Amino acid sequence: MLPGGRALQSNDRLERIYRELAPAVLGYLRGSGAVEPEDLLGDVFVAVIRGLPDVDDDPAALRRWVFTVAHHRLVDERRKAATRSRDVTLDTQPDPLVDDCYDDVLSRLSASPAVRALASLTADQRAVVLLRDVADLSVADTAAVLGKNTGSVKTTHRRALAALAQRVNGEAVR
Amino acid sequence: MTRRNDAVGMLLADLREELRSGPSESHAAEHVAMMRFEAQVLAPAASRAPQPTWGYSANRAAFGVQVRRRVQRATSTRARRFTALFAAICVMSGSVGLNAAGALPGAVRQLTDHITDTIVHTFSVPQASDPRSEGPALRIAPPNAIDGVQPSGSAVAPISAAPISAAPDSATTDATSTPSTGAGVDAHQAPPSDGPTVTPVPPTHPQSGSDPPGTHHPPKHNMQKDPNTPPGLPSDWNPNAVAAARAQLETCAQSTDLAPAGCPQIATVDAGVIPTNVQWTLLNQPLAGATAIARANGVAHQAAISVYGLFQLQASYTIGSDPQLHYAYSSGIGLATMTWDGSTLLGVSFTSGSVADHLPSGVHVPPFERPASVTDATVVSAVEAGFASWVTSTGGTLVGDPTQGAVVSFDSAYGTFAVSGTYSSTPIDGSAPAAGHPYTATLVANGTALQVLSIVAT
Repeated sequence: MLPGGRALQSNDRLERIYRELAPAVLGYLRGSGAVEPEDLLGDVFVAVIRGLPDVDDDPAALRRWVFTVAHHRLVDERRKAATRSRDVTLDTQPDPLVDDCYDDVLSRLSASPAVRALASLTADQRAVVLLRDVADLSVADTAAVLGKNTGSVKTTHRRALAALAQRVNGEAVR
Repeated sequence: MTRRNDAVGMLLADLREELRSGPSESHAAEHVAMMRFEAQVLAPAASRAPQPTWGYSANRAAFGVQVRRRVQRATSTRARRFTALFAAICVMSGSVGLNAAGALPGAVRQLTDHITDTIVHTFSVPQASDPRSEGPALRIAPPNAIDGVQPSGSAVAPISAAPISAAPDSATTDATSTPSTGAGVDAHQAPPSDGPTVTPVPPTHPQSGSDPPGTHHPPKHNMQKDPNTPPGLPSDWNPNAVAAARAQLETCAQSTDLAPAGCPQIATVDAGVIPTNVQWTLLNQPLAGATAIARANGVAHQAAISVYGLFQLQASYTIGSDPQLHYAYSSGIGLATMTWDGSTLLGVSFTSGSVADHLPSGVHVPPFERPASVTDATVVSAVEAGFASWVTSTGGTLVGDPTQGAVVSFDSAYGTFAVSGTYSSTPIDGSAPAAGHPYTATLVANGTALQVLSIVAT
């Protein structure tokens, strides 16, 4: 049970929130191809504290809020990386840190079949799978985080699972 | 269908297990500390520790809370933050303008000065008038213009008898072969005491700890951060890396070895010859036109940095108990490598010799430029004086003028002058003169004079 709202001012509770939510948020950031997920995680939680809404005794709202912040930070990071990678001129070898190509990031992260399968999804499908199946968010919360309606999230999720199933079967056949 | 769902379920379970491993303990501790600090900063005034309230009325406290809330509200979104910043800059510009014009009364002027200093300090804009300001990260030495080249006399090196009176000395690293291999030109029994006098201004290190007490360094991640700055590096990484490489080059110049490890300079001597009293001197502008490159090295917060720049070093040394000074020269494009460990540059080291032939594509280091004040006539005069010194030191006789028709060229890859011509001489033993031998003289401008490094019969 997550404490929320003004209760956050207690140091112990801050730490408890972090310990409880950080793995899921980090998983979402990693799976989404964040360049430095641990650093981004710190930014996310600082931003959470800074702009915390009034969510007293509503852990679900807090969870939704944290993932919304994480999603926005991720989008910000991608935008910055896209600009930066075009501006760097001196590097003769591509700097992996400024390369925001999702496949490359994931290939560096892991070569496990699960991650490879995730990489085969579209960006929307990937985000929905990560939020629903890795971060354990409800359909409504996922929709709120991504700024979509629940119907769209359900459809995207269903298609993502179908694509994953197709991929799994394909690999099994091969 | 069930099997398919099971397979996907297992895949998702794997994904979950792989991605949901928590942050490292060090990261977690750091993040929690950041959160606590943030919560402390944002805590309402009432929840903070009681402050002394000398003459601090309840109304004023309430006003303070209101102001704080307004500031928080005004900076709650990015657009609002930009607007607030823009407004602050406008106000500051206006006040500074009036201040500069002397239109503001003293008290207000003092206030605006304080605001200006604070902003200058916060945004790390170097200001000579602000003692807290860091100033420029790197002070560049003034160009060492050659304004007093001595065409002859003591500044011109006497030359070795061996290379000119016989076939090229195999032990001598001559001017024609050395550049292609990348580094040095040795000049045995070369110039007398008129060594190079130009010493580059030592670079200043922004984080050297020499700041006066009370100095506050601005935050690393400020609004001036260059968008080209690679992740994890401070915005001033480039000049700092060049300064670190330059400092290492100066350390290399203190070496008493002709080919010191971790240094770019290399000089060779005959097999079995042990040089003594080796003294290296940096010539002209070390690491002129330096280019720095940063790459991630696979470790979080770390980066591998390479600095490419020009170097010119001259060495003097003796052999055994013979007091005769010998000279060597080494130049080219130096490569310094170092590691940014998240807070400092570590392990600065140079690759031996010039890397001019191994520059990565896209890296451009401007070549050595011929000093504008050194004319062909000056170079030829120096060679002429070199031949004269040879005659004096060996007792040989030159037939005709060896510099007649000599061709002067400048090697922009190594910063040396080359003079090609022919000479005729009468050996000491009185045998028939050796006529029409080609030679190549190599010289270097050291900032104040032209040094003859070698004259080698080719």
